[in-house]
Amino acid sequence: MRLGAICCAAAAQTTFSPKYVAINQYPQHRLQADLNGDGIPDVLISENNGQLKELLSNGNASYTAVTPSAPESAYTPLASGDFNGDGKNDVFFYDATGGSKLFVVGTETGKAASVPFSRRRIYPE
Amino acid sequence: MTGETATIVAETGDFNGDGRPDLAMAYQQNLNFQPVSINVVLYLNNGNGFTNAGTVWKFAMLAGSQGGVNYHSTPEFDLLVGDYDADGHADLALRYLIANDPTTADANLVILYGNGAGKFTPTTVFANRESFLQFDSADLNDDGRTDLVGVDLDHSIHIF
Repeated sequence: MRLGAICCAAAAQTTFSPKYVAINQYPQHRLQADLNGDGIPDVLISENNGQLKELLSNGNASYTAVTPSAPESAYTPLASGDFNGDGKNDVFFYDATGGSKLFVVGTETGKAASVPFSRRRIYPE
Repeated sequence: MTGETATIVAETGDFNGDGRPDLAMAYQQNLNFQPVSINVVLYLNNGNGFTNAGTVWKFAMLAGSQGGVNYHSTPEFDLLVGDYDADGHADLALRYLIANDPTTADANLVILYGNGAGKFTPTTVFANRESFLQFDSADLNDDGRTDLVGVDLDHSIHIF
């Protein structure tokens, strides 16, 4: 429930201490997901140059930024979940380029009917 | 999903009750760079991949109209998953903007009530509202039904 804070409006006032994390370019999509399997939500960002960036939470409001290697950089992270039931988090990517290396959705050829999980399981490695 | 697509959003939920997380996607379908429709497509998790279960909802856009745009000049819509009727089945809430002239973008909100077997019944909450900016959902009064919260252009907060 993303608006969990609403439920506590009548409780004592909560203050937030914002932490700023520097990233390059302009973030276009962001996805909250546990990327490294430590049980703490991390943040995955795609920037406007197509580059992905992981912000791995250290659990104390600080983040370690990781830039994945090139093959993932053309894909937009859209959703996360344990899609293959192995107990680990997966990330669902949309491939806007038609390059169809991971999950092929929305390409000109429309080959999206069924894609094996193994082909697009790139987090965590 | 074929042909040109513009901005796409996705959410996960178990829409057919088999215990596996499925995917629902909303996107704008274009043809020759002109918007044609806004579609919601269901991808069912078969345990070994996703099976395209087809378009579960479609809004045909008027010729000459365009999807509402955000400051990135991309069509704007939000897709949420919740149990809005407390029947135990995952439902979808879609907010989408339609601009029929260059100066205004009207907000629309539709709930797709899931039957737990991959089928949905759409109900329009409102259409052509002047604005409905941010949008999210949660069970605010703990009655088991997911509620919807939105912020209007005048910064007022609306709960549905």
